[in-house]
Amino acid sequence: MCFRNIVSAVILILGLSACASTLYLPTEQDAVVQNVSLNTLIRGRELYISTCGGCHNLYLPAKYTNQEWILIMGKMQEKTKIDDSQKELITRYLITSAK
Amino acid sequence: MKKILLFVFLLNGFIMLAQDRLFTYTYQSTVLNKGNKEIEVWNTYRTGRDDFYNRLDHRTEFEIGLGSKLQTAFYLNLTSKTSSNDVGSVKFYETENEISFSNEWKLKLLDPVANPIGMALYGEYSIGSKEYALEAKIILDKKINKFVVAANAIYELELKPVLEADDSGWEKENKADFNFACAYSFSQKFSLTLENSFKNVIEEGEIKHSALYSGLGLSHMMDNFWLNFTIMPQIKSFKGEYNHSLNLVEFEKVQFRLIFSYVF
Repeated sequence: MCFRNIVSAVILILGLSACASTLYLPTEQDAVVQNVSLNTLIRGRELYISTCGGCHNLYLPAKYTNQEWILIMGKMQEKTKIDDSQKELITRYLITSAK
Repeated sequence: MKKILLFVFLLNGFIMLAQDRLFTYTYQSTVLNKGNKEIEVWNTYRTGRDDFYNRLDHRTEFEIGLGSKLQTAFYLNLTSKTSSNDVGSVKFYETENEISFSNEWKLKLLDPVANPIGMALYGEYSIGSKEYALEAKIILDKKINKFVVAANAIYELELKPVLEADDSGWEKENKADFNFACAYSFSQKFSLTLENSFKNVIEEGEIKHSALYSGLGLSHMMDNFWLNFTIMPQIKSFKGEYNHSLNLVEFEKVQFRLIFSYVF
């Protein structure tokens, strides 16, 4: 009985929290602030997941400041095969919801 | 400017950053980054059964990231167990030592940041001087702002060879555990954790022993070093208690676990 209660509580908590990805989804307003199209930011998010997440665990954009993300992306580009335009897209997305 | 220089210096740490492990008993779905290696040192002290009992488990783990979703690890395990035995009216203490080797594999299926929920499968086998073990886990976790929640469903089969003149074979013990944990990061480097472990021993298809452990812990993380500590007292027994609200026959009253790790 108790086991069932615990399992139900955990499933409920995880279920409720699992409704959406934790990774920030950019909005129209972000696009206006960044002076780019919403598609650019969405593409940056996709690239962050596929390119960066392809090699290591992903970090939430809010973990670092704009300046820190710019430095991180510069350093990471040396280690990966992403070109300048891809780096720009990912950085744009990351700084949208940076610390 | 000073801040930026310091950050550039710490960048290498970010790049090598470990798998953000926050808990000592509950696993998270993240795996070590490809090519990274990590040494983890585990120490678990258990004490407080009905008979005089204390046990120290030491594990040295060497972990390797094999890809974006896969990691393996090798463990050297040392166990020292002291318990009291009664023979007639004579009570004596007996200490047993055991050495074993384990190998684990962890496959990340879903990322806790990119996907709605993180998920991984885990398998481990152990070969010891006294027993063999197989362990499987389903790992779920989720990051929500400063919180991390994780849940594990664990099944373990322990096999002990029985070598007697009239009967030889395997003595089997089945264990089914369920862990649930949450962590709150109150700074970049420190997190407070709450872990719960619901432990069950199954014999002949029935739960014979069952108890809930619940405890607080602290996690400290630096660039390529982390340290986690948890105190896990037994809170309640559901099966197998003997004149207690706790089961002190199969399980200990309290466990302490310290894990520290270095990534290189």
